[in-house]
Amino acid sequence: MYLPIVAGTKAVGVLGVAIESENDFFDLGQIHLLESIANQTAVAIERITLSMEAQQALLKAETETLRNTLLSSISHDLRTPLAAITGSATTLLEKDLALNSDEKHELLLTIYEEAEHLNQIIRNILNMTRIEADGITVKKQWQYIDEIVGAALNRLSERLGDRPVEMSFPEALPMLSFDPLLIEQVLMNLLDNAIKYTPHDSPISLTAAVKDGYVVVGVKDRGPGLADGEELRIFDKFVRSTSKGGGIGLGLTICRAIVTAHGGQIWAENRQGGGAAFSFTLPALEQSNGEVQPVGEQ
Amino acid sequence: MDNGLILLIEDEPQMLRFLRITIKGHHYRLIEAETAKDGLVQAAMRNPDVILLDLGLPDMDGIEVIRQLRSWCDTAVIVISAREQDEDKIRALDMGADDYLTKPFSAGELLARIRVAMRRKTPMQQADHIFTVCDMKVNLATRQVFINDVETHLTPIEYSLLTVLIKNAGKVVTHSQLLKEVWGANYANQTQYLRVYMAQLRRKLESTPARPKFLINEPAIGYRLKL
Repeated sequence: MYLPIVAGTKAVGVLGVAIESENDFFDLGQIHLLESIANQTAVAIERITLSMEAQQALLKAETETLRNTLLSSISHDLRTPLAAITGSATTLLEKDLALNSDEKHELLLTIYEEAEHLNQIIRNILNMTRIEADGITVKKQWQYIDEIVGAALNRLSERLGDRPVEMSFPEALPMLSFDPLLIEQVLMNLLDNAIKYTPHDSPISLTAAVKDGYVVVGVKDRGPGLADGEELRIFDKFVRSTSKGGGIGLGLTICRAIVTAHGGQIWAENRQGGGAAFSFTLPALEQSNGEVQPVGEQ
Repeated sequence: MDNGLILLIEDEPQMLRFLRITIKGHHYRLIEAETAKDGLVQAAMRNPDVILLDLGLPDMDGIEVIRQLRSWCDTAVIVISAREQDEDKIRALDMGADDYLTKPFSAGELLARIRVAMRRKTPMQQADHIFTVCDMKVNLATRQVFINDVETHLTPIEYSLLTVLIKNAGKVVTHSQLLKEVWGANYANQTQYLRVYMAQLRRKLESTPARPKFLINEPAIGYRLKL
């Protein structure tokens, strides 16, 4: 005997029951029982389908809101440096304006710095879409964390200028497996914040230490620190610190996504004696067999 | 004054405008080509000292341009690429390009790369067996290394790594190039070896190893001995 399973207005399945002996028949009671099993199954299927559809709709709405927030946020944050660039360039181009060399230099410096700022924003947006689109593509390589710290500092050397940078890296740090470009981005975002939110001669301190199977990396400043309750929130998308001068509020969100994709954690806290401290961890895994000892020299 | 002849293969007009002014302003003569095909012809006809090659040309893959160039000439090639083309950058370097610039770059970076490439044209004088950078002095004849005039002992592999970087001073050398030169072709993928020895080298030669002055790491690509 076959019974249709009807959810809503359309059939979603068929319930088939075979009787073992050829001479047997279903009695009315059995038929009713089978009908109610078919009905209950239909109700259950309908409920699951509806809830899946609802979830999909919600997800779509969320993506839509996210996209709108992103778009308005991006266009605002891209326009600010662009406005400074356009303004400075047109001032320099004005024929009947006599500028002294200091003023010219300042306008040119503005153009350069704001272009760098745009580049940083774009890099963050690209990485963000990369993370959101297909999970994150992590290209891990075995390497030392201090090498990447050095590369990030080197890349930011112009902006760091004479600012004191204190480094505390033990010699015996293990090699870690991570994506060099993504972790460099994390360090650059953290350093960028420290530069942006603190006075130009305020020291930045960089630390690394091994703890419970992880390497903990710290970027610490002596700036105004974080407002109460901001420690967690600043990692959320489009939330920027209450201090002035911030960017799009994507930098820390990307840091968190990258660190999480590496199996680590990232957090922020206020330092004793003032300032903010950002720390992240990377797992210190064992390297696969035979790769620990470099060959070539006895 | 003439600092040399540069062939610029680039199709974007804004980039051309900036590069033209910067290059000519520093007394280099300039040939421009807006397609890979024209670039290859100009390279053959004019024999430039340095070629600046954009990897994103419309008519040919940049890697292919380098392959064709390298089949008959060894002129220094500096590739210009966008950050999304990291893999291409490594392939270009392994294919024989001398160095790279990632957009956006400053005029200072461009000129530094060109100067290094021009220097390659006039090979190191043999009398120049002393190489100096920051606090380090290397006597390539006696194989001695000094930091602030104090001799530092290097193991054979450390010394060999250092000399490969000195031979390519100012240029980026990819992980696989360094591994091949120091350890041999079979070790081209063993980047961990390289990292261990680079760390040792930095500890011996740099005053602040975590913020090196001349043994520079180029993440995901290789190392550069910065002049």
